[in-house]
This record gives sequence, structure tokens and C-alpha cells, in this order.
Amino acid sequence: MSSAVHRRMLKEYLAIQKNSATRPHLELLEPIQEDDLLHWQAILLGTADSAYEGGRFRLDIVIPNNYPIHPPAIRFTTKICHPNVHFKTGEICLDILKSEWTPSWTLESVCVAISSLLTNPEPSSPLNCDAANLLRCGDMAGYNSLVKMYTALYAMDDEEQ
Amino acid sequence: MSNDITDPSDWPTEYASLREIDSHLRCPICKEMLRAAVMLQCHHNFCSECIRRHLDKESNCPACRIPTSTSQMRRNVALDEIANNFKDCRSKLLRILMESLEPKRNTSQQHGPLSRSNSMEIDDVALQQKRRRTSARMSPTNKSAPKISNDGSSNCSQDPNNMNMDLSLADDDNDDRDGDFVDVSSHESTSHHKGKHVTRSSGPVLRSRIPRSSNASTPLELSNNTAPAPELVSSTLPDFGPSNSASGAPTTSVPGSVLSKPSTLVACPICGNGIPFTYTNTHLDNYCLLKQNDPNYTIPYKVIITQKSDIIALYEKCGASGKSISNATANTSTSVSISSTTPGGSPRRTNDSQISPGLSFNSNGGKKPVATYPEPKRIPKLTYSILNDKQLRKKLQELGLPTHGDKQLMQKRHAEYVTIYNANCDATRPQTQAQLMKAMEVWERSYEKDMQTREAQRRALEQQQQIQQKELAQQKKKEEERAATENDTEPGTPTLSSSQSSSQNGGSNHVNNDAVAVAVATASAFAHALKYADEYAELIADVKKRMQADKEKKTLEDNQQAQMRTQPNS
Repeated sequence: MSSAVHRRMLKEYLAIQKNSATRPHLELLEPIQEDDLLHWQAILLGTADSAYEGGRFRLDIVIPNNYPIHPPAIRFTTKICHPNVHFKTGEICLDILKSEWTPSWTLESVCVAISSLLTNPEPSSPLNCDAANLLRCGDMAGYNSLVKMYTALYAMDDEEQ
Repeated sequence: MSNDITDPSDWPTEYASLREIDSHLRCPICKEMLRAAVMLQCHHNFCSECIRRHLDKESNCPACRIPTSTSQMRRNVALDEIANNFKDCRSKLLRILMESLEPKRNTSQQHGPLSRSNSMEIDDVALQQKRRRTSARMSPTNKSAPKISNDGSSNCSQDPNNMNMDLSLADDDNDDRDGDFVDVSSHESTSHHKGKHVTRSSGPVLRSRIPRSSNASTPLELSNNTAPAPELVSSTLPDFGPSNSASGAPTTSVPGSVLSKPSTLVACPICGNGIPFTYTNTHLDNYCLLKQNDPNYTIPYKVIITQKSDIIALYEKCGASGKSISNATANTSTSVSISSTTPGGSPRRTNDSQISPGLSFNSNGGKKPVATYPEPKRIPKLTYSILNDKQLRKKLQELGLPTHGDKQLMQKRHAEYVTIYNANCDATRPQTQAQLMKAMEVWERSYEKDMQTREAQRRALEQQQQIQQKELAQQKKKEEERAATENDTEPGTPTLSSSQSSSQNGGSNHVNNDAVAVAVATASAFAHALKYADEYAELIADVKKRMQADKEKKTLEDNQQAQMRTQPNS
């Protein structure tokens, strides 16, 4: 059973290496250690023209043994201010990582989904109430400046994890 | 290891349709070639095993989320067969394609941007090389380096794959002059008639080589009533025959014989008949797009392919039984050629007497018996919650599975076996019972391993928690002590004074719990404030700066407005 996971992860790894040029918002997506295909890391780049511009956000990805039937566990290790991301734990509230997961997703597609979540927040199911409240009140200036500040504080520095 | 990890992107970009085929023959769940393909109500296809595992957890289609269940799954036998066969030939096909692309890429790199006529020539060269390669590789007994001999019979015998279209060429290869002639004509056609080609809007070299049926004027006689082998006729067009054959270009001896080999047939995208690759444009322009039938190529590609494989089978049989290969193959090639050029007629065999009696090739007209796929017996799922240990153990015993372990393990074991057994029922190439049992053993081992690692992780977590608790306790103690000392030194702060009073009330040794909590809270808040003092200061400074800037802006605007007001007045 677990060998099936390894096969699939190896497949994804090779596929990711092959078309690395076709994903502009994903700086990195690879296993942390070569011999452990069940623990990955990724670095998302903040989209240009958004409040996250210039930020590099690190993701920690843990693949369960029954992947792809079960979704991977993904969290931000870089602190990020976003209505659907827990500020302290980095937990991501995204339906496709929970109830709406289907085995046809790949790590790459999930990373793209998270990247698009950054620019399209869903304030109705918040993990970060402060950011969500700003959005719900329509205070875009406040929200954007808050996000910009935290991006500058935590996501600009290369050393920052 | 990475060799058996395949991906649709393995295919060269020149063959985008092959990529498509590859990706459509893959299961969206495991991303492998479909194994025991099944189709859901929504017409999405998956490996039987993968979709069963998914449907155990959720009852919707992984691709479109339409609700579904195992009972609505249907075997997709045709797709499974296609996937199986594609899997078999994939690596071979890929290698051949890659090799055929290599010379083309090299030449185009050497020449850089090309004029139209130039590129045609190069295409021709690439094609020649391709032909040479394929013809050399495809002969199964030809273990030594491919020798291109001009001896017709040996050529024919060494190259069973090409026989089908090559038939009459076997004779022509005997003729050295022919080889020269062919090569020259192809070269000349691009150089001499450059103007002609350039003025034409479409249709490269091929146009000048329209094959003519029953070409009486060709210098070579076609043997055995075969239809005009297109490649031959096309390359021996009498247009510029005499002058060219006299010119005797220097590089003709070897490539000439190679060129006279036909290109592999391809299926016409419109009529589906087998046509030579180089003849595609002419065929399309002159016949298919005008909705006319091409008299030269009337045999569907599929039929040709099946006959081809029959010939290979025959060839192998001949080789195995030590019959004189050249004779047998020559005969069959004739017979096939006739059958393939009899439009609409059933394949006929001539010279039956000369073919060894053991060979029953083509007697069925190339048709396989229609396979029937009876619905196999599947193991029903169990509702484990209503079974006790004994009953479950009995069920496992009936299936020949090990019965050790607790109920959870037995339950998982049973579920796993049901999944792979039922999935195996869907396969057109099912595994044996022994293979399934082996898979179960592997599963058993990996499950044990999983449990061990999980146990180890749990223990590590517990230990960590214990350590954390200890640290917390120690911290608390320290905080208490610090709070106590602070109480002595700084009685001024209001919160601390309260705790002081309470502790004083309870006596110096006895410490009130509430007081400690308050003390800890204040102390941690204090520490927090200290830790982030710099950040807060910065933030506050930033906010102040902005507020000041805003104020200045406002005052400026006010001033301007005031000026504006005063100006019209003045």
C-alpha cells in the first residue's frame, strides 16, 4: 500500500521537475529530504499586484500513507496574514484540502490552488478573524496594508522560516 | 527505477496526439496506465482498484464529484485492452520515435532557417534515414548490423514488416540501375524543379510524384498482378527519367536501394485507408477532400495492420521450423498483396500448396473470434459492525486469509482483500489467486510496519508532551518565585499589590493558587511587552508618522481650499 504512495510521489516528483517552467508562482516544490518522499516543502511567491507581492511563503507538506485517497496535510511555516490561514499554526482552511479533496488532484495543483487562495480570500470561513473582519467590513485599504506589513515583516527575509 | 515511472510528457512534442492518448489511458488517481479499467455513470474511467478504494471513503466521482457507487461501475473492456496493449508497446514505440526524430533535429540544427525547397530536401533525407532505421530494426532475426543489400530475395526475407507494401520492390531491388535512378530522381525533383515547387502554394515534393495506377509507361514491369506499389511508381515517374538516369549522381549506390523501400503506411485521417506517409498530402488533396475514392489505396489501414502481424507470425514460424524463409515469405507477400489490392473482396490466397501446411494464417480473414466477458463472481462487502470476532475470523478462513490479530486488523485485511479481489475481477488480464495472496502478504507486512512507525510516533509525542509539561511546571515555579520577589521589591503596581495582600493573608509559606495565576499572567504579559517592545514602538512610530502626514495633508488641502475661496473673491 505504501509502495503505491511512493510510486505516485516519485511520479509527481519527476513530473514537477519536467515542467518546472510552467508555474510562475511556485518557486520550489520538492521533498525536504531525498529519501523521504512523504515530507515535502514548497515556496509560494506572492502574486504581483497583490498585497503579498515580494513575499516568499514556505509550505510544509506531509503526505499520508493512503495518499491520494486522503489529502496531504499542508500548512504555512512562514507567518502569513490571511483570513483563511491560522496566524499561529499556519493551518489552511481550504475545502479541497478537507471535504472536497479528490484523488485526481496533485501536489502541484494543490499548490496552485493555495496560491490562488492568497489573492481570493474567503472571509466567510475564517481562521484569522481580524483579517476576515476587515474584509467583511469592506475595509480594503486596512486589509491590504495589514497584509503588506506582515508580508514585509515575515516573508521578505530569506532567513525567516 | 525511474525507467518504469512513465509520464505523458515522455512523448516528443512533435507527437502531441500520442501524448493525448497516453494521458487518456491513465488513471486520474494513480496516474499509471489503467489497470482493469472501469467506467462510472459519468463516463470517467479509473483503475478498478483505485476507484474502489476511493468509493470506500467517499461516494462520488473523483473527476467530477457526481455521486456514484460501486454498483454503478461498469467494466470498460475495450479501453482496458487498449491500455494493456499500449503499455506493452509503449517503450518500444517511444524509442523508435525518439531515434527517428534525432537525425531530423540534427539536420535542421545544422541548416538553420531553411528555404522551402531546402526543407523539403531535408525532410526527404530524414525520411530516408528513418526508413533505413525502421527497416533495420524491425526484422526480428536480423541480429547483426543491418546490411542493406541489393539482393532482392534476401532483403525481402530480412524485412518482414515491410513486405506488405514492399512486395513488388523485392524484384526491383535486383536492379542496380533502378536504385540509382530512384535516388537521382528524388534529388533532382527538388533541385531541378525548384521553381515549380516554390510557385505552388502547398504540397511539397510529393506532388510531383503522384502515383499512377497500372502505369504502363514505367520502365519496370510490375510483377504478379500486384497493384502498383505506390512508392515505386512515385519514385520512378518518367517525367525526368532519361536525362537523370544518364547523369549518374555519385551518392546513389546505397541510399538508392534504401529509398526504394516504401515508407510505412499511415491511416488517412478522412477515409481511414492505409496510405504511404509521403503520399498523404496528394491523397488528401486529390481524393479525400474532393470526396472521391483513391483507386490506389482502397484497403483500410486496420486490415493492413492485421495482415502485417500475420505475416510476422508466419515469418517467425518459418524461421523456427527451419523452412526456406525466402521462398515462404516471397509467396506470402504475393498473396497478401493480392488480397490487399482486391477492393471489397475477401482476402484470397494463392499458391496455397507452396505454403507449409502448418500455417493457417489469414484463414480467418484477419478476424479474431469475438471474445465474451462473463460477469465474474465478486466477494460481497461485509458490514463489519454487526459481525463479532468469531464470525469475521470464519469469513477470513473461508477466503484462505490469515486470521490472527484483533478485530480491527482482521477487518482491514478483509476489506483490502475484497478490494483487490473484486478489482481483479474487472481485469481482462486477471492475476492468479497466488499473485493476489502474495499482494496480501505484502500488504500485511507494510501494515505492520505502518503500525510500528505509528506506535513509535505516538510514544515520541507522549515523551515530548511529558517534557513540555515538566518544563511548564518548572517555569511556573520560577514565575512564582519571581513574582514573590517582585512583590517584595515593587509593591507599587496595583495588580501585584493584590496578590501580595492575598499571599500575606495566606501566610508566607502557603501560596494562594489564584494569586499565583494572576502573578504568572502579569509576568508573562510583562515579558511579552518587553519582547515586542521594539516592534510595538516601531509600529506606533509608523502609525504616528502616518497620522502626522495625514494631518499635514489635510492642513495643506485646507489651505489650498481657503486660497481657492479667497482668490475668486479677490
